[in-house]
Amino acid sequence: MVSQSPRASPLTGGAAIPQADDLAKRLLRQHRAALLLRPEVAADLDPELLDHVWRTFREGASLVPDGPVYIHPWPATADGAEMIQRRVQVDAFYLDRYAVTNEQFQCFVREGGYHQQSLWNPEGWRRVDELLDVSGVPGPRFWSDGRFPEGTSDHPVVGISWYEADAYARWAGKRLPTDAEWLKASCWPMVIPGQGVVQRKYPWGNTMDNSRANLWASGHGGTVPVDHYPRGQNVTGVYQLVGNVWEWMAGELWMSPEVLDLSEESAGTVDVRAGLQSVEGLPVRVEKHPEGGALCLDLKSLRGGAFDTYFESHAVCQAHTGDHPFVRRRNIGFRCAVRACDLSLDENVRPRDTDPRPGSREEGGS
Amino acid sequence: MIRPGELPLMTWDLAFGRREVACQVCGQVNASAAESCVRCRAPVALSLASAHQKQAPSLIAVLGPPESGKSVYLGMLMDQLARRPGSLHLFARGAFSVAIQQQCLQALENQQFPLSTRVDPEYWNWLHCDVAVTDGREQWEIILPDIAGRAMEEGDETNSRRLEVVQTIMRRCRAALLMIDTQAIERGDTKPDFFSMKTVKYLGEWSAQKGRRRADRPVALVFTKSALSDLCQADPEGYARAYTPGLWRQCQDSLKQYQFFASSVAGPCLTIRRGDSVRSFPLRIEPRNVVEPFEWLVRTMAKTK
Repeated sequence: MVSQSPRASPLTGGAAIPQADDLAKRLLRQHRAALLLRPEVAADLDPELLDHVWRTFREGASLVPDGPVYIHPWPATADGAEMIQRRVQVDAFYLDRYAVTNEQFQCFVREGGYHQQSLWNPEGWRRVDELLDVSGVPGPRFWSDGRFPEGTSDHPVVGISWYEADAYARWAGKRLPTDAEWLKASCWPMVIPGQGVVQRKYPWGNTMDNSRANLWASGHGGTVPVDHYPRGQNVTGVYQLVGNVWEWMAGELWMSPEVLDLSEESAGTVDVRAGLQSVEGLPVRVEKHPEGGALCLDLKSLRGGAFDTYFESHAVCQAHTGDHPFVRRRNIGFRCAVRACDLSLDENVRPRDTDPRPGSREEGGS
Repeated sequence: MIRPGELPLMTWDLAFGRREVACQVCGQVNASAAESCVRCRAPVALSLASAHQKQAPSLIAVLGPPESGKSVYLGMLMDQLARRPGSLHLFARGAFSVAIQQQCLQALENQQFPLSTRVDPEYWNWLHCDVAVTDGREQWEIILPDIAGRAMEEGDETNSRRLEVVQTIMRRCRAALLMIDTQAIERGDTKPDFFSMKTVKYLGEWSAQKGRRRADRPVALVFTKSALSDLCQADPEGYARAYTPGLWRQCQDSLKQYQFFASSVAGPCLTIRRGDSVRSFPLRIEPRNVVEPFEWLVRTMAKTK
């Protein structure tokens, strides 16, 4: 299936691949198909194998086409004042259909993910020794001896910091989604002539329905397997964008200044801390958003709501919150994304969807 | 016929308003037309609602120092039991009871905490409700006064009327929810420990006056804001032994029926400090173990009727 002549490949850092077939199988078993689809790697694969890799990849990830999405500051101001919203142009990308599971994350742990500096953000690597499970070995906070709790193999991995999520995503050949990408997949904006862009409130539509998401009202009181709540999937079959666990985003949290009882001008002059309510938390840098109308907080953005999110209004697609990138909570997990243009050409996708353009582009407020 | 500028003589209303009704909180007799009890300032509507019943409602005192989370706890408890019932179901009696729930929940939904309860009893929130077992016949009528923490904190000093009201409630209550701020404990503040010890002592003393060594009124000791303390969530009694040893011993010595709980409503918060002013904003609302302490109290009260 694979060309057997040893050739230099970026997959192995320039070394020859004597057993490329085995390596490909191993990567597929570890849910790292995205690595095999990098153009420089895919070029080495036999077409039949490449086709198999693409099919495997598409089972786990859904293509979200390029297009605009509107992002609102959150929470909305209490007086209903008109909010400044940002229009962001998003490139076509693939988003994981499911949150990363305990079983998937265990592959990362077993492969020595906590010991490979190249996978880690420098800040995360500096404190990687602190990222231990209950038995003191590297791993998510609620694991023990490098193993997840029994019966939770298909539950989303929780108790992981933003840095662990980021490192896993890199190991899998992907990255964390941006807020705009996540919103694009969940709100599914449609350009309607004469009406502009229409966005959904929830991934399934505009009406809350407790049978479609694992929130507080569902009564589970904990996480459920990542493939539960099939009626809550988005247009292209991405599960649990709302409910089960909050998901780490790649970027920072931004909020309306009115909600924090601050003016944009006060950014940088007030002492803001995040953590416990009445204990001195960790300091948070607050800056004026470059677009205006919002404050950027030095916290990582979280979206989607979790099993313990009480208010349904806090689980709409536009709702977001944040936390320190080092916190490891029982209701925060993640899923990964990868830009379509970073992968080899998927022959099942129309050319305009994979138009290789750099990043998401903001197009100003409206 | 009433001419312009004249006030109508509403004889029926006047006669009705002269009807006397005993305050369900302190026993003071008030005119039924009065807004609040002349002695304890509890709304007379509380007493009117149960004036013709054979059995008086049970008073459950909600106690704790300022900012310990009493109002947030009560608001969330009510919302969970009224709108999303599990094993217990709550029916509010009177619009003022629903107001507690509304004020608290609206604030939390807007990622704010409700304003502190004002210190004078006429401004306290009074929750009057019927609580029923969802799959059974048992039902209890309960009054829960949301006492301002500052009214209890000023204790033996200053305002004698406020102190009298607090003492009356503590004397007459059939059970108590005692709120202890976990975060204050974690930052090394001894105030919650002392406050709770003092309260438990009071509850015990009034029982002692009746010739009992230990108070038999059930007391639920609730570690509030405990979301981010794994130890507290996992073993509240062990946490009490380790972090509030004085209170823990006091409970053993003075109370016959007590239990420690760990509860929380908000998750992590943003705290903004400007000069002397500090404001907190909840980043997420993730209630945990809100109903359990109340359910334990109600069921224990039912057993010890």
